[in-house]
Amino acid sequence: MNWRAMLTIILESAKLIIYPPRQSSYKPEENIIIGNVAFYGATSGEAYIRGKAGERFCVRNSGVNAVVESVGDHGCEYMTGGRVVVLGDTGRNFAAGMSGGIAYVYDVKGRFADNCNQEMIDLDPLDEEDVTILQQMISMHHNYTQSTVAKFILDDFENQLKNFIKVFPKDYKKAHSKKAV
Amino acid sequence: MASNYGLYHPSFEHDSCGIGFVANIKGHKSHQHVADALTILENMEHRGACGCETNTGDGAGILIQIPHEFFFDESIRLGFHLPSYGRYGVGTIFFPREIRLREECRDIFNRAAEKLRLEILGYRKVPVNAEGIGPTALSVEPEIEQVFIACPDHISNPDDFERKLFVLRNYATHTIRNTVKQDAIGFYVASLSYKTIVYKGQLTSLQLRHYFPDLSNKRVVSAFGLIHSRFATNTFPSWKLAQPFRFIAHNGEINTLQGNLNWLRTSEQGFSSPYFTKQEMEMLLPIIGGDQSDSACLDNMIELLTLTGRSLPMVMMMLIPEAWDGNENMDPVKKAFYEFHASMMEPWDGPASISFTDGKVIGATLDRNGLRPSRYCVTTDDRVIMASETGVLPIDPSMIKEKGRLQSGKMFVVDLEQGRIISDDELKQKICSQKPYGEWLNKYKIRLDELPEPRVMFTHLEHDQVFKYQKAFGYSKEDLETIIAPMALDGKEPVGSMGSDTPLAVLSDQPQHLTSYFKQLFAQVTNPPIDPIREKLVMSLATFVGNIGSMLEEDELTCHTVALKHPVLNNHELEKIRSIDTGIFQAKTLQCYFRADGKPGSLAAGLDRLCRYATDAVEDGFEVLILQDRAIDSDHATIPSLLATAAVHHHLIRKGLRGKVGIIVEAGDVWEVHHFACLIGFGATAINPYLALSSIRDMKETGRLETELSDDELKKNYIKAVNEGLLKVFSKMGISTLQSYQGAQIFEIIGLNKEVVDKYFTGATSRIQGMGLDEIAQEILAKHFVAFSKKETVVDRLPVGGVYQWKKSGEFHLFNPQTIHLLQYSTRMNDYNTFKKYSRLVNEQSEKACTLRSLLDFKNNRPSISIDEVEPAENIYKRFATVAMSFGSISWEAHTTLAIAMNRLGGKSNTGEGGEDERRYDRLPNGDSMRSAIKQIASARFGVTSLYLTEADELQIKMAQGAKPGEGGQLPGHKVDEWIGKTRHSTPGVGLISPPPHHDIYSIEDLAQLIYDLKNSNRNARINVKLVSKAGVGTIAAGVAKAKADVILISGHDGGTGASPISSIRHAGLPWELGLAETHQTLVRNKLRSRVVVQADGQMKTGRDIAMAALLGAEEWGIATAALVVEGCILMRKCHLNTCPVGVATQDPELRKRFRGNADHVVNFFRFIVQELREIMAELGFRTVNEMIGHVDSLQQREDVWHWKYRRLDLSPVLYKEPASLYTGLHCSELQDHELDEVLDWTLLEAARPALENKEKIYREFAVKNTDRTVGTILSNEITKIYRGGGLAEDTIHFKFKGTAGQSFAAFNTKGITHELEGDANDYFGKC
Repeated sequence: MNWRAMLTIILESAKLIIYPPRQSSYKPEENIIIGNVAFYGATSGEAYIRGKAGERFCVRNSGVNAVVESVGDHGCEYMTGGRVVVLGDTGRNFAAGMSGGIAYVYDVKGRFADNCNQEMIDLDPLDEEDVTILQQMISMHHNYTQSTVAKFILDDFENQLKNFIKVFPKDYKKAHSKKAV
Repeated sequence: MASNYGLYHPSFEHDSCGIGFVANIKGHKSHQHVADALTILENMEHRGACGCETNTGDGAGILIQIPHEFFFDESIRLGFHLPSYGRYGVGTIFFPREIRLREECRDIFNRAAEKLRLEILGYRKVPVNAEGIGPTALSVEPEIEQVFIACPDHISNPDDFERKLFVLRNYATHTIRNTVKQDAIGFYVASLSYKTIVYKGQLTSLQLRHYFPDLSNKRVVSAFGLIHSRFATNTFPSWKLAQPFRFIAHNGEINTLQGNLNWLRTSEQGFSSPYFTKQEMEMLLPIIGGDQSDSACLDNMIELLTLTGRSLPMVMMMLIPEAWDGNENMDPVKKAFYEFHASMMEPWDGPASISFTDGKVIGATLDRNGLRPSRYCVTTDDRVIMASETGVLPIDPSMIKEKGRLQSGKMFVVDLEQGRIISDDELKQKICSQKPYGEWLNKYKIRLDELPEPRVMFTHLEHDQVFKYQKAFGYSKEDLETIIAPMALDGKEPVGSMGSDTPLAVLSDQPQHLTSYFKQLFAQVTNPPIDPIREKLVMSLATFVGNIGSMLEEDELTCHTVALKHPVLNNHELEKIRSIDTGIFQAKTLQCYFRADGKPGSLAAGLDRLCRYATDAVEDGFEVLILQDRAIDSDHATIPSLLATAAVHHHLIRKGLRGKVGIIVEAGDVWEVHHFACLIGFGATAINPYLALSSIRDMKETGRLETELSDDELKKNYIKAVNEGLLKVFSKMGISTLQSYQGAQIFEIIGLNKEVVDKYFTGATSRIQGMGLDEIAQEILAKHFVAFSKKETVVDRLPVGGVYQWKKSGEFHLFNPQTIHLLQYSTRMNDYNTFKKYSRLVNEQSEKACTLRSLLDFKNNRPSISIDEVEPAENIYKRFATVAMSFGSISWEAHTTLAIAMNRLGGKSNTGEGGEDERRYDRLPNGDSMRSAIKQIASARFGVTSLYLTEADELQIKMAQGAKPGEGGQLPGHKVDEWIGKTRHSTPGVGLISPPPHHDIYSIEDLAQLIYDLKNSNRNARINVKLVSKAGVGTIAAGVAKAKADVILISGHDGGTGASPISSIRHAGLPWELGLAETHQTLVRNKLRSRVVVQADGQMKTGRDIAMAALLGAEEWGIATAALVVEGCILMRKCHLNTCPVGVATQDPELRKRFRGNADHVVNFFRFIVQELREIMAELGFRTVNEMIGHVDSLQQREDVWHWKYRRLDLSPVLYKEPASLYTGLHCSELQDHELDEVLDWTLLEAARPALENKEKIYREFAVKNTDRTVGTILSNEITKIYRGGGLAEDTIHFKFKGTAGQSFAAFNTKGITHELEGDANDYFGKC
């Protein structure tokens, strides 16, 4: 199955791509590129963000599939759907009130669990479907933004997979396993 | 000067804004920094606002370093000579224009300088260019002068000179205020320093540069420019409210101001500091004068703490601390710093981004919630640009070294002398290790669990005693069973549903709890409420009992207090505290009673005695006062704990003693969360609810609680429920810490007279008078004598209550079996005469007053006319809406029936917050339509898509809901079936949470942005902002009107709900009569009334209600509960249980089959209401509704009311008629200018034409800048109009942008669009 078909039945999606000016010399993944409260309440589409986002990234997201290189506090708060890939640090209180959707966090420093509000979610290992989706989303991110972080991960993908944590809301998992049955 | 009129009060004002600075890290001065700062200001024009005139701004300003060479040349031109830099100070003074007043002020200022032995070198009239400044601003334009003052030779340290200037400014300002007549301009010193100077005024961001030619003079150089652009709700123009102040530019709001000011006031009298002589200290006081904005007060506080020896960053850490309590990851040294200073002072709490400078360092900090945006960039040529938005100063991308943002609770500082940026870590590390705070805490902090066992322990109250006390303190059966029992069993506050239709406390015949006269305030628009559950990391219940010392000194004994994790004490803990004796720490118990003789003045005497004893106890050296009400008997009745606490609290504040003691309340009359909240809000430090705890034990022992849980577990649960409830109460006002809530008085009082409020609840809002102390005493005695009956027959059961659910012989409800029957029968039978019987029962409240409007009557002051002359009913239906109820809270049948009925009438139904099934957009075969004209945008944005927005006639932003303002909600997973899941774009079976705030509205300029976004998403839809009535809602409405809303809805506190905590349904918000009248008055006053439609709702049931609302200022009205009753609702109040027996508020397929509602009945109901309204109009002589709006002179307060409790209510502020001005009438007569003519989207649309018309693929490139906001949204709207929800094929439109995108880039984007952005973007990127 097409990886995007896995994510959403609707192919005609909207797309947002953002990267720093080509002539800038700073490291995109260490600098902020979009502000607070991005994709608040968004229902569909894809987004590729080469750089850091502010607080409350994807708050109450119900359908956007997004790749970003770092987020501030309260990331994916109240999220109910969609998939979010964070290729770097998160702020505090990630996933507070997150009842649906899935987030994949690239946690090289091993600090993520402390920054995550685990009341409604499980921190799970990736399964096969996750791996396929993740690889595709990161590839798209690289294609669209020339992200060096994405390239680094893709070039060493099998090995880097161990650094990804899957944030899987408990209710959402239940609803999915019911559906599968 | 600003003053009270009608329901308006100047303290209701709010402001918010854009801030920023540019600074040279190495401290190199240049005119370019000044010019760049002004450019930043101009690029944030959209964050400021203007009022009724586009050329009168809310305020703009800049703070820079003293340009010495410029002033030196100027002084020579003016004939005096300036010494070298640092040896003189410059002040910017706003003088009255009138020459006599001006010279009087100048004279006093000069004499004050002389008294301090400071030599005034000369004055310079600041050149200004008033061309193009609006008449409102000009009407109060001050005469701006600069004063130059020499540093005396004996002072070698310029910082000591700075302190002298501080004394001079305060002393001169106080003296002038006290002795010179104040005109509308007044005297004001904008800045007075040897380092920095402020230029500001009631200007727009674009006017500042032009107004002050100085700012364009090349010799005006500085190492930085700090700017501020203001968006205020302000009703009266005032130049001094513009920012920056002397140290800060503040974007945000202090929610706890009144508490903060009281705590300052109480400690002021004991201030001493090595940096000031005793005489100088006296000249400084009061530190914070009246008539100032919250930001100005904060600036004063910062100045005081800085000039008494602390560094500016350290002061910021004290006033706006990080969330330390419960943060396990925080460095212990830093945590100790915060905890030590917490025992000294409470946070100035609220959303805040603050840029600050003392001329040597410049920096910025963000509150613990990170609710305001602050972006910075560092360039390769050593500049820092910090602002509310990115992209405000064009910079070559290749010169950018770093782009960052301020993070929650973090600080960013540039030290201009050291020439470097100091990181948050380094800075705080240094500050926190200046003193051994951790050691001090270890040595002196008193921990409850380490205290020895108490000396004596009270024995349990036996069953008979419990029962007697319950009677005396006014417990009802309902209080025990509906409130206390669920808290003890589940550890949670009970949930209820539907609105409150019982009388206001002051109108009730049932003896009331004193706290029932206090209504909780809450955040809406100007600051956000917080989610205390999901964001609990910022919340804290910590409280400190004892002497909090002096804030001017770092004294280790300051932390010799009892540190409590939360404010609720069980009996054992209380006894431990009562027994403390550390040699320098002891507690004193005081009895709260008065003579139960029913004589006038007895209660007052009791209070006097209590306050006298309290003063004695503090002066005798006790650190804790325990206010106890156990000592009651047949001759002595209890003083309500709230009255006793507030009386002692305010008495000690006036004596300057409050900071020396903690107040613990040991009270029998405290059992529900609201009681606790009131006590803390009026000064209690901790509370022991002994009778509630005993009642739990008693219920358990007598088998009234069916549970395996032990006594102790039940009590623990109860305390947990209280604590969680308290967090909810604070957070709905946007307050994170209990400490800041203490004494913050965030309530409006309804039904107590001015004498009582001024003396015992000083400073609290109370606008319609009511009971005095003797009436309060009478109410207490009514309860007292139930327990201590002098009659033979002993009362052997508690009253039933009947507040939460109608009960025979219980509290009165407007919807009772009789009125429900008549309403349903009349609308089903299409029988107007029966309807008249119904409305007569509702309207005639002479015996049982229930609402404020029941105390009003129509006044026939114009000739009656025939009903045929009144405009036809068909013209009036369109003014009606059904109030927002979501599909999910009510059934599909109930929801669509209302929609069909409203569409038939030409009125509007409302989707509520759950989205809308797309099937409803197609007409039914019989021509009916189930489409709701009003689409609601709530905090969770469920179902909000481009199609949803495009299908609307009106878009309603729900800022708050009457039943639970300031709170979010939760739809449990089992309620989200396939259908609801699809409509809300979520997964069936997965729970849904609505956040308390809209995360894109933390302030008024954010709301303006959302209104702009929505207008872009559908240009034909009216934008409606729903507010809930509260004190100050009129001022907020003025801000909302400036933010370009088309409709403002004022909703009453009694609105319905599918599920809310019971305490919120009863205790939060105000009747719509007050909110509507205040809103109308304030809008007329601001000349904004003609720009907006005002709508009102809240338990409106009859034509009389509608006529009252029209006369008080509403031209449109909403009805919900009554319409549901017509559909079959019988107020079982089970909506939250999904067991509605009549199929209205349930999703259960079986129960839904029982739905008997019919659109014809609903149509009948609205026909009857309009018929009744037209009859009233004929009687009063109004031909059209428009003629009626705001004609309060056709209303009067009823004179035939003699009830002892409410005969002294004074509704004249409600009936105040603000005169209409020449250009603006009393109702909406013009359209808002949404300023969409020049937006980038028109270019995009033109470029996208081939795609729109023929689905051709296109690619184009555009430049974008931060002032291009909401890019792409009109384009999406146009695509949706043609291609509906499906949009276009992927990548049909590919637009590439270069630059910095403004807020809401690609908001509400639809399918088929790809936006690529090379650059960066601001907030709300890609939101819905």
